[in-house]
Amino acid sequence: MKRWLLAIMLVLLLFTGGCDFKDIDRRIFVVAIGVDAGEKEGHFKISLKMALPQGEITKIDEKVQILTEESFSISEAVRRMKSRVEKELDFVHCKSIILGEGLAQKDIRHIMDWAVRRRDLQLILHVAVGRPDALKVLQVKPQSERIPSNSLIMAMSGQGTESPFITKVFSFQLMRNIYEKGLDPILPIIEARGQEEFVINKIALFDKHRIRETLTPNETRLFNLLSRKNLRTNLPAFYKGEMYQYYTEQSTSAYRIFTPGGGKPTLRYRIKIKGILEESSNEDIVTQSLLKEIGAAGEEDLRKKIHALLRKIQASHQDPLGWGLRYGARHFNNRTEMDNWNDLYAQLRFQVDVRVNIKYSGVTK
Amino acid sequence: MSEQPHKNVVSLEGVKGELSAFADLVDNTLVSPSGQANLLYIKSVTDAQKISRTIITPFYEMEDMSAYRDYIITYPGSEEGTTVERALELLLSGYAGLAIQSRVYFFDALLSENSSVSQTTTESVTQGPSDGFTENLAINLNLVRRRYQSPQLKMESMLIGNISRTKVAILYDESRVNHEVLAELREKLGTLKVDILQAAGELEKYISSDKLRLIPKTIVTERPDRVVFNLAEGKVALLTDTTGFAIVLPCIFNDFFIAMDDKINLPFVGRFLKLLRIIGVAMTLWLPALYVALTSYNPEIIRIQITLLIAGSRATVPYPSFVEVLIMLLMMEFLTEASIRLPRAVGPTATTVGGLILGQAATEAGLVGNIMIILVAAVAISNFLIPLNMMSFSIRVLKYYFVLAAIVLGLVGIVICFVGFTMYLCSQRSFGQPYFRLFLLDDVMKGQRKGKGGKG
Repeated sequence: MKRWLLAIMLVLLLFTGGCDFKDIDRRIFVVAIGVDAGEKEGHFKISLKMALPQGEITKIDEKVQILTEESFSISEAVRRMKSRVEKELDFVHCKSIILGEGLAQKDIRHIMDWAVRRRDLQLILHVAVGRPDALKVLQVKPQSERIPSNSLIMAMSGQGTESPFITKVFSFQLMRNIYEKGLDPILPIIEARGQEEFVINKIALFDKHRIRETLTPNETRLFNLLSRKNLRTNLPAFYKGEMYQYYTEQSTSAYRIFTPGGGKPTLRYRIKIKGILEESSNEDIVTQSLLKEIGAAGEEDLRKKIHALLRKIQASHQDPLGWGLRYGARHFNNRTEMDNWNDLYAQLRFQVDVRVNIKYSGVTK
Repeated sequence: MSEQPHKNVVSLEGVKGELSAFADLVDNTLVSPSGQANLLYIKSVTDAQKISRTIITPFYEMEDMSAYRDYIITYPGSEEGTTVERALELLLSGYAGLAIQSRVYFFDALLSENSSVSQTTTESVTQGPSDGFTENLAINLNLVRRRYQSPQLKMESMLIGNISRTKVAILYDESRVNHEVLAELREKLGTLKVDILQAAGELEKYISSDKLRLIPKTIVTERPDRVVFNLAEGKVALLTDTTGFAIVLPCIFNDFFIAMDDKINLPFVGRFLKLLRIIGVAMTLWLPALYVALTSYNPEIIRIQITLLIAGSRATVPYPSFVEVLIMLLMMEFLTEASIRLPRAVGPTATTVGGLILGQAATEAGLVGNIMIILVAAVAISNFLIPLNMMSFSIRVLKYYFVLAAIVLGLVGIVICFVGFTMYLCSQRSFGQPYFRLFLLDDVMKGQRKGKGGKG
């Protein structure tokens, strides 16, 4: 009896669906998706960047195929593209989706809905905005690239470059933030410069579903300083007409939202940086006391810039750093906390405390 | 000197009592007109010729008993018996005990079979003894007894096989052995009905009750030091005449991954080597299956670099991944099998021709992918990390089950197969002892008990 049950179970296992036998050489791997607004109203222009495997491993020469299809539905476009290639489209290695800037200025919800419903790519997909459009970004082929679209994936996921200007955003994160109260989504902007270069150094602030404001590279770096721990970057300090640059070895940022007695609601940021002097415009000997002065100058400079950034964010009525979420969580009454926050936000004052400690001149003498 | 029984005074009867259940103990009484003498020795460690030439012949030739006694005392290496412990020690190390006129003397008659003992061939170690069992039971007993000089080491002897009448010796340490295991073994051997018994492995097959045996449950070894090591752990050893191997039982899964030089190496080296072996087993068992699963079902698990690499190397391969894997694995098995049968002089040539040229040519012809060759080589090499041949062969065959599971269900199949395999291992018993026992857990329990004791 037991034996029979076992045999039946084994036979039943043969009919399990979901996983089907298809050899790796009969699949074609999509490594990046680009989505632009279509020519017709309400249509999308979907571009798939596919990696073609190499026969000879020793002679690596990246081969890419980009397919473009326009349709009112993304699934429809993908199905149509399936009949344009001889192999099965496989999305399991698709780690990036680029949304064209034109589309991102209108509405990204439809696309994101598709991206997070696909079970094969919902957890691995990084999202970015492409400028001037997604297809142009997909067509970029840097010289250092050996594997199709690898540079894009490396840069967007932060596995390769540790640039202070890049923020990585997963698709599920983006989707969550679209529907989160008191926290607005952001996306990095990838700009294509010709055929061989792209640059990622700006952040787009989203009004839930469309771009509302764009941060400049410098603002992007400061934004990352506020949102991340231990951002590795250089920051300037101007002391007695000389320019110094210091490298941040450690950085932390914390904030509090409070209303002082009788005063206006205030948001106070505290930023602590431990740094090393990296560059100096003169040849003077750097002493410990000079390091302190440079630190103080750096604090002043950083304080002003961050203050300006915070005011810019406030002016755009966005909340990319999740202040509202924090406020709501700490003033929770189940009814009015978010309304209170909305009233509060407009009249919020900012206070920035920066402490820069430059501990080492960087030179051995 | 008084003749009353005293613990310091040795009598051969007393010694003999200590050595009960020694099947190779010989007790002779020599009688001649001038007097009589009792001779006691253990056959497997003593030289029969020497005893006959230097003890028995002079006994009958000499007229006077006291002259014979003087002859024995003055013979180089002889000594007079003092305590029972000393007497046992001497007997076990190859002395013959001789009782003359109520005094006991020990006569050096050690048998050393150095010339006929060969080196181990299948279980080589880098350091440590390299004696291997021979095909002579007496020599094998000598090899074991010389390394295990304890009166607790008992030996029982029996004949198995209606035609072959093969001598089988059961060895165990009486103070450490599990008597249930011993009783079960005796019963099994007693009821065994075969005509011919020629190899230890054959006996292993007969005494195991399980029909479907995926994994060996007794160790077949050719190393006396492994037998001694296991005897000290309370196991039973079966030595068979006409075969150079001994069977050790009961044993657990872990025993098959112990090489005899683990003890010789520094502890952290020994552990590292053991870890290597376990990784080796995992590799040889799962790599081919994983290749099938990853290339045909779940390419998302590996990185895109490798994905494209495999896809590229498979671009010219006409058959699905599992055919590729099976062809290459079979090729490898042919090579391994062939190199056993080939004459020694041709062996290396065959492996070179087979391994290098065949692999190279197969990839260049586009029949198999490059990655596949690397994989097969890794599988073949890591299979030989297992120190005991029986287990090594089992693992070699078991990997096909995993490949089969991967062909049918991909990664899910491998997991199902792995779970099933673990369940099978856990359900196994080797002579009543749990086969897949984890000593780690024992240690943890012991540690807890110790901790409690410390508090109390």
